[in-house]
Amino acid sequence: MTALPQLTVIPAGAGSGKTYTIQERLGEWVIAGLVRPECIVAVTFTEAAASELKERIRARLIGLGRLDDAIRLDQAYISTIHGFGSRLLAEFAFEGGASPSPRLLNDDEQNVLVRQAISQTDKVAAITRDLARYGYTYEYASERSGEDVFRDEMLRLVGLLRAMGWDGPDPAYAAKAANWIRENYGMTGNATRMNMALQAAVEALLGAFPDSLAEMFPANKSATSELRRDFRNLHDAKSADRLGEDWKLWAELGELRPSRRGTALPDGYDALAEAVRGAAAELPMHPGPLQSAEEQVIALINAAQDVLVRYAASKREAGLVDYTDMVALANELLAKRADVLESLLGRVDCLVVDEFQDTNPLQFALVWHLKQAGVPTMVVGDLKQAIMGFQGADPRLFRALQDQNLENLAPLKSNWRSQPEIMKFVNAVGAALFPGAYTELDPQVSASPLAPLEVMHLTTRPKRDAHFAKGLALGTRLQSLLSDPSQVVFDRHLKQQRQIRGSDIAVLCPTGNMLAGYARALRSLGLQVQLDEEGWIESRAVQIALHALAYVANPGDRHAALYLEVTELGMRGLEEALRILVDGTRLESALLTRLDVLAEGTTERTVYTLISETLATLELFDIVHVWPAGRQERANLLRLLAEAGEFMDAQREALAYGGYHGAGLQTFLAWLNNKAGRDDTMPTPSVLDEHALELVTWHSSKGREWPVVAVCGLDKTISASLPRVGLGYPDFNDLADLLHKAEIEYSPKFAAKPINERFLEPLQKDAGVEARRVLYVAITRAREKLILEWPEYLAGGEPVSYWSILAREVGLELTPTGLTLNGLGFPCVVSAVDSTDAEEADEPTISEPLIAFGRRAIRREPVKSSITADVVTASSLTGLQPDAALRVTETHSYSPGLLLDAAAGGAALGTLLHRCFEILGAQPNATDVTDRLLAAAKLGAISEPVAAHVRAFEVWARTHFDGAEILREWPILALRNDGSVLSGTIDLLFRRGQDVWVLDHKSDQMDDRAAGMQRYSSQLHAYASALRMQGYVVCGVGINWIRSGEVDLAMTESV
Amino acid sequence: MTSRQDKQVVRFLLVPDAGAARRLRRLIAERGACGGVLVGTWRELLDLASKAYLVEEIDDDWGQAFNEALTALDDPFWTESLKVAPSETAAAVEAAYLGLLSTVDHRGPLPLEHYDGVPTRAQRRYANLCSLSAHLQRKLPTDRETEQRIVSTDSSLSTHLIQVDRIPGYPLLSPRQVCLLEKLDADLSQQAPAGADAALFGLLEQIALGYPTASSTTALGQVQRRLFLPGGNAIQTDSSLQWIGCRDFLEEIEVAAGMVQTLLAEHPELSASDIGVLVPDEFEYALAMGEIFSLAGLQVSGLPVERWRRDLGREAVLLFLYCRQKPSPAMAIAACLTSPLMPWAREVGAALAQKIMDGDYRFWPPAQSDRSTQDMLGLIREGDDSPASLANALRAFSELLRASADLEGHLRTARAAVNELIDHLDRHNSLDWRELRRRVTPRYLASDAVANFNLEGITVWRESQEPWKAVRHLLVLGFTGGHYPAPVGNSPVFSDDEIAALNGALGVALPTRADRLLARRHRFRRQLAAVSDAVTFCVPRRASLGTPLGPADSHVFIADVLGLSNDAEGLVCDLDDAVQRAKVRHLAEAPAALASLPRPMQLTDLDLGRDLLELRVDAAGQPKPESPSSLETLMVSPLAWLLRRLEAEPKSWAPEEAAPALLGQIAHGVFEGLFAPGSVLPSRAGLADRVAELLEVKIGELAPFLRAPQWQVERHNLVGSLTRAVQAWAEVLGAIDAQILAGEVWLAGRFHGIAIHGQADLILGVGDERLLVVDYKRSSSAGRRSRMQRCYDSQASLYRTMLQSGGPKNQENPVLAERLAKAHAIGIVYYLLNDQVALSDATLSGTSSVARWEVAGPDVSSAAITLIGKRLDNIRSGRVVLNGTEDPAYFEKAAGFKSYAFDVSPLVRLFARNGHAEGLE
Ligand code: SF4
Repeated sequence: MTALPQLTVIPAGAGSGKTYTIQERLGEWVIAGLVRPECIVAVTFTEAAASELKERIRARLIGLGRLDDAIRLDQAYISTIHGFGSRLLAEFAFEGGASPSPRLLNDDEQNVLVRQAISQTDKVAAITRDLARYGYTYEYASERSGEDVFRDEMLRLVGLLRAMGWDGPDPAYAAKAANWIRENYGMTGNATRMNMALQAAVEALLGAFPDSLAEMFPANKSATSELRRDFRNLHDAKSADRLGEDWKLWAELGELRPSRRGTALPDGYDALAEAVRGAAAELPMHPGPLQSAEEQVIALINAAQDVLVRYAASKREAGLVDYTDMVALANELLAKRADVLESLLGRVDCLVVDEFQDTNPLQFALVWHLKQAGVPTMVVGDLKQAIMGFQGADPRLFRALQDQNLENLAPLKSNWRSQPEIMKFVNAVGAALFPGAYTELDPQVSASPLAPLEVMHLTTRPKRDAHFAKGLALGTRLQSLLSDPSQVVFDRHLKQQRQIRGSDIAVLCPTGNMLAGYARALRSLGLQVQLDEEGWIESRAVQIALHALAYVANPGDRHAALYLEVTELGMRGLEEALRILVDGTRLESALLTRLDVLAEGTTERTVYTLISETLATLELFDIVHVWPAGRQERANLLRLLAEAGEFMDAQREALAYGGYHGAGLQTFLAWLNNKAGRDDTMPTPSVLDEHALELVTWHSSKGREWPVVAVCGLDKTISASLPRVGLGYPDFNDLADLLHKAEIEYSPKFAAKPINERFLEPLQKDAGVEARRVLYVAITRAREKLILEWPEYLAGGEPVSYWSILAREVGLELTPTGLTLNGLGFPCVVSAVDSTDAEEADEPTISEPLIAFGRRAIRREPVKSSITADVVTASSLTGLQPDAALRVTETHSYSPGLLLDAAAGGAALGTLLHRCFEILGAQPNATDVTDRLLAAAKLGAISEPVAAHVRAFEVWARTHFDGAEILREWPILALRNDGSVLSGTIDLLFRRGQDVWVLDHKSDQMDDRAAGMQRYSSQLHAYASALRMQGYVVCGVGINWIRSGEVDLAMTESV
Repeated sequence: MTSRQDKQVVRFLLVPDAGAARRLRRLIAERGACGGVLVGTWRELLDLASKAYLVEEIDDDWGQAFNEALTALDDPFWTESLKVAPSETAAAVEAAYLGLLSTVDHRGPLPLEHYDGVPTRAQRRYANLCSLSAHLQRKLPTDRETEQRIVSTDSSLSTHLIQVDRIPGYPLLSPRQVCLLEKLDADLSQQAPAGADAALFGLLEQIALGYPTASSTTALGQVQRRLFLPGGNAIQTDSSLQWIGCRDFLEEIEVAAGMVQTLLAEHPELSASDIGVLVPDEFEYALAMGEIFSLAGLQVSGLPVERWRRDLGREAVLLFLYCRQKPSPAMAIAACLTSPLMPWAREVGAALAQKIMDGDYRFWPPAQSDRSTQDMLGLIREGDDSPASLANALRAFSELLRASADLEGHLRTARAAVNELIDHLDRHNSLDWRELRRRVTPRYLASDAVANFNLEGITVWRESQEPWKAVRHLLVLGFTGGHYPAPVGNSPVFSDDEIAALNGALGVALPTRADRLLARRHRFRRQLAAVSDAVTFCVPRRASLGTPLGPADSHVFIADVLGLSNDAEGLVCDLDDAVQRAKVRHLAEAPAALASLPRPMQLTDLDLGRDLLELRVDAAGQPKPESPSSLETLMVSPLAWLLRRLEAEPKSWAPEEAAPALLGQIAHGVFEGLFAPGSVLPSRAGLADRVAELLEVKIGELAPFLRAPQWQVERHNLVGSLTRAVQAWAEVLGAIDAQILAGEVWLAGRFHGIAIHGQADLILGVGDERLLVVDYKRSSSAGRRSRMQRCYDSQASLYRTMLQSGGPKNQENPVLAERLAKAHAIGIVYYLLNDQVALSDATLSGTSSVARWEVAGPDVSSAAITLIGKRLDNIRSGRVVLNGTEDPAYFEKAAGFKSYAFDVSPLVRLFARNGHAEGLE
């Protein structure tokens, strides 16, 4: 191989070993010298996938003996697309005129910046003054206000514009979107005529029946409320203004209640009502709703562009980027700055894009710059697994790429995951799900002793709580599998067969809500399950901790005190505790007292420290880890600590955007409350719970595999809804120019049903296509056994469901012995299940065995208190009881005392005098230096006396130790008897052959000199013994009492 | 003997960090005592040399000089970035500049003579940095200036000479540093060589080169010899190495503590200090390790003890700035009030703050407060629109701050910050709040605690330091991505290939990112090399937040020595897997045990033994009147009622938001302003303006924060929806020909033997003998209708009860009094603002043609009244009936409303019994 292919497109079905393929190719290329490891760009869609890919390539290079290359791989661009973009932004920050370390803004900041930006546009004023009319009302399920719903819609449009690579305001965006609605809306008639007809019919009816008929049937609720509604609508319809803008009113007038059996209306009413209904039925032909929709979409898109301008400016000013910017700004940089692209090309030898089907147009544009500039490119992906549409991924891009590069297609054709019988089934279903677009995969793993296929045949519709009922049926079956010793699976760590256990099994459902129902059922059977569950902040451990923190923050918080007293950690019953409060007394207990201690002086401590100390004070980790589900509680507490860390890491300005000010506990608790509102998921309690079945949604099962997989919830219906917004393209002929061609397709929700159906039809089709892909993902996760739920009770029903796709559209049939498809038979274990009357039982209290390692395994012991320092400095020995007393043998006066202001003193002065002795001792002429030192300490007045003092000392010393070598500031190191290292500096050492004298300068005012000698004797002894260890004869030790100008010498034979 | 006396020579052994210095000192001392020798880092050498060469301390004004130079150039590459991110840009350019400085032996980068092979971008940038150097003239950062002066000081002026022993690459030295060392060498060579102790150099070499300490026949020994190197035959893994997978960092530490205990018990010959623990630098590790090892009775040695502290001084100033910028966020005020630097006691601040957080923006000074309290509250309440007024406020603020002795440092910081702000304000004539805040942004401060190094403790090494003592067994914690080695960032100024090109052109050796990573790898190898027996790597599988983690980058390199680069993952034994766990050596295990249940909660109705209404009495000892809303809480949850009465509700802080209750209050205010006795409504067209006006006033009173731009959508929608509601209401009033008798009027009366009172929204007269009590609700009719139809209305009905059993609290409204006396019937009306429907229990003549008038039924309250009566009887005898788990659903279904009483405290749901509360069926 001499050059890399310019483009390789690798369609890779489920389990076909795409990471392996990438790793092998890159390995070959590096070895062939075609690619420098640090010049690989490989992007994929999750952090985990990126680090796995890097790890695998590294391992491959090492395996090939290329350690140096493996090390160089560190610098390669192997990351998510966002990581790639943000690295480009940082490396080319100056070209982009941006911050070299931009900060990712958080949700609060984004929220506020977008809100502020919205306030700067006047294009949606009509909408914001009447949100309800435009369909923005309180949403019960998500608890969002109408205002929030509106803002989210704006955000969606902003996001869409950015995904289209928006680079400046342009009325064409809105015009195209309006045009698209018009094209799909259909014919319209004459508005004036229709309005007048309806108004006339309404007036005729009200003329004849001016009073409400609602009180006619007090016993019939629906009649009463419908007649009341009709009466109100008729009144509203008298106004021409309302008729010209309120399309919901038209639709409701079209459903004016007629006489029914038992609710006969007065004579003459029905005919007049029929006239109203007839006039209102013209609504689908009315041009008004179309015009309203166009106006609305134009206003929204133009406002969204205003918002983008403002939002971009405020981010730039604050040095912030958001998630999309990482890609958008990087794309802009490569598109507009030839020099940047050129610099980058010098650092890139090849480009690998993994999971290509998940790219959105903007991401596509970013990587495509490299491809267009001639970087050899390999893209890997699977259209059949394109299920990330909800995140903006656009699989049409990958399809177009494949269609246009047939000569470069290199589909993978093997499967390394599922046993042959499962693979046979998957191949058959896959071919039927994706006619003409399925590559058969050849199974590479050997057959397993487990029966490959199994069907849970649901014959009757569960009456209520369907997920629970089906979960029970499945659970019963799984229980028998788990208790059967003959059911073995292959353990990849042990590399051998072993009996099946809970963690080998995954239960896959389309939604989290379904999983919750299954989880309840499985638990009620005594099975353990693991799934991502909400409820973190409400968990017992976290609640107790939070109340304790509230108490620590404010010991006057009676509620917190009460809570702690009457819950798990407290000692009182609710009645007893309340009696105390009712009596007007403060609650007190040992627990609260411990917290009181903690609350003292909380001022300087950070929230992390406070939380960690609170948990320690409550011994909460110790307490919860022996509870049932204690590992979950423990993980929950750990998240609490981690959140404190996050809070501390957050920028003040960022917190302020969310309305959070201060750095104390109360601010943290407020912040945390909000954060838990957005993400209340409990962290996974363990790396692996051997006994727990894993419950995973179909979407998040992508990229994973298990020995046994149960695919459940096929009864979920598939339906598109309005309003809906997406991107469309007239064609895909020029992929490099895709962004310019994209347009917004906004399908509004109209009042008239027929119009809605018109807009829904293509959406419903898309939903069907996506459903097939999700199905494919779900059935390709199993290694050894695939269990399929078969809700046959749906047969004959209307709505499209996952099951109806398989049974009706694909043609999969269930027989008593298995499944058949197009004449092919797939033998299955079929269990017929009648789950009509599943009764909910209480969860059994299982006595859960505690894990044996970790905290429980620590033997609690008191800490031994005696410790020996590793290093002892000589000066630290000051004042210690000496081993032996020092006896002063001679005292010499070298100068009258140095007169210092009595107040002057302290360590700083001592250090300074030492320094003067050292400098002037060694360099008698360096008085300029000492003058400056003293002057800087405002002691200029004594510089001359000090110099004279030192001179006098030097004269005395040279005379006294005549002929000895003088060593100043002489460092010594020695090992002491107790094993510690002595480290010190001898101020003066006089050395004559093997004989030495030690002298230390002391600047303290010492009136009792004998006591002074004692004070420093340990230090002097230490010097002496260190010197003796070096073989010296220590002839004496002494102290130069600087202030009095005297030297005390002591003999050391006595030491 | 020369005429000139030889100078004293101190020998200095140069090592990269304090860890290595500590280790070498001990090795030297253990060899025998030693004089005239120092061991230390570059910093310490610099200190020693500057003392010896009499180089004085240098004033540090480098930062300012550098920042000025940055803006002085004509269009350098950082121009645009500097505008948007001044500090980040300055930091990046400075790092690049200092990097260049360290490679050359002059006071600035040399002009590039030949550009061969240097990319144009790098050329331009290099040229800019050269110009920068020209602007800085001869200015250098302190350390560099010190080096410079030492180099240029004649040795004859020094007090002594320094002989530096060093090993190339340990630490990595820049050419400038080498230059200084050469100068010291040169000075030394001018006198007779001192007798050097060669063994000392051998010791330095031993730790610098990371001599393997484990036998070459063990896997560990091979790793010590071959890690990161190619070639060699694979050795089978053995008991000298193991990897364990833990869930998270805490479990790692817990397992490590147990493992140390086991090791010590199994091997009596081991002393604690023979066991080492290598910890990542994150403070979580140190904090948790200190705690858990002490539970296990294990002394530690060298455990990092630095802790973060809050920056209380700057924080107070920052919060004060927020207070002075109107509208101020309530939480900023609250946080400011609770700052420990405020001139009042902690409890006072907490109480004031809680009031603000509860929506009371007035924060009156507490009774008997002193002058400084009042002044400070005044300062916090006011706002500024000019630099001068803010400067004055800051001066006064600074004066009023107080601190206890232990917080005096913070007080000084605060005052310094204030001075800086005032200085800035003096130089500007408009307020740039963001810039002001940027100047006083708090940062967490490091404590100055120092680690305890001792002989008895488990030896603790840190990832970023050389080992300070050799050990026999090592536990490596946090062996995960981002550690071993920790990553090195890219320079935004020069890329690695540009640095390589510059190095070529300049003949220098600027370190690349790869070089720095390599140095970290070498350190990791030296760390492993200091272990003689065995290493256990702990791999945390999850971060504390629960996100998955992968193993460290070095893992696969170690696996390669064992010939397992293809199955590195297979080396890790996850403790959660029983089979894998069984393979782990020295693992501490506890005997099998079953989980034990925590203390159960007692779920029986409470008997508190006294009349609970008497918890709140007036001056005459009579229970104070209850309000309709308090009675509603009592009806739904007596426990919630009691907690409120005891002021034992959760006290928490939350940012201000457009909560439904708050918007409802504002809407009430607008209606009150428009519909009052004698008021005349403007025309339909004028109405919107009038609503907007009133709204502005009410927002100012109740929720000033809503004026901020981010709430514009809410304000717009309020104007629109209230205008529509007002129009429709005016039409309804016209249609039923009602007369407004009173608005927002306090009523009092009696109910079930107790006093009640409350403020009714509106009282209407219809005809001569009929009154209507009106309650506005900012919601839709559906919920209210169903509640009324189920006879569970209480509020408006209780107002009617007040009118019937008492009347207005004051008699200033003679019209109302007169009409009340004549009234034969009193009806109630809810006006639902969101869909503009009036729901009443009164059938008036002619209302059947009023489209927005609706009769919910003749009886809308009997069930509620009965239940409230029952609950009142309960609490008067001291009984508090607990809620049932089904109660929320009961009230939603059978009573037709969703109650928030269950959310008054988590205790309400926690102490709910299975099923229904007594009395609900
Ligand atoms: S130190 Fe080295 S760098 Fe500085 S002036 Fe002297 S020779 Fe040049």
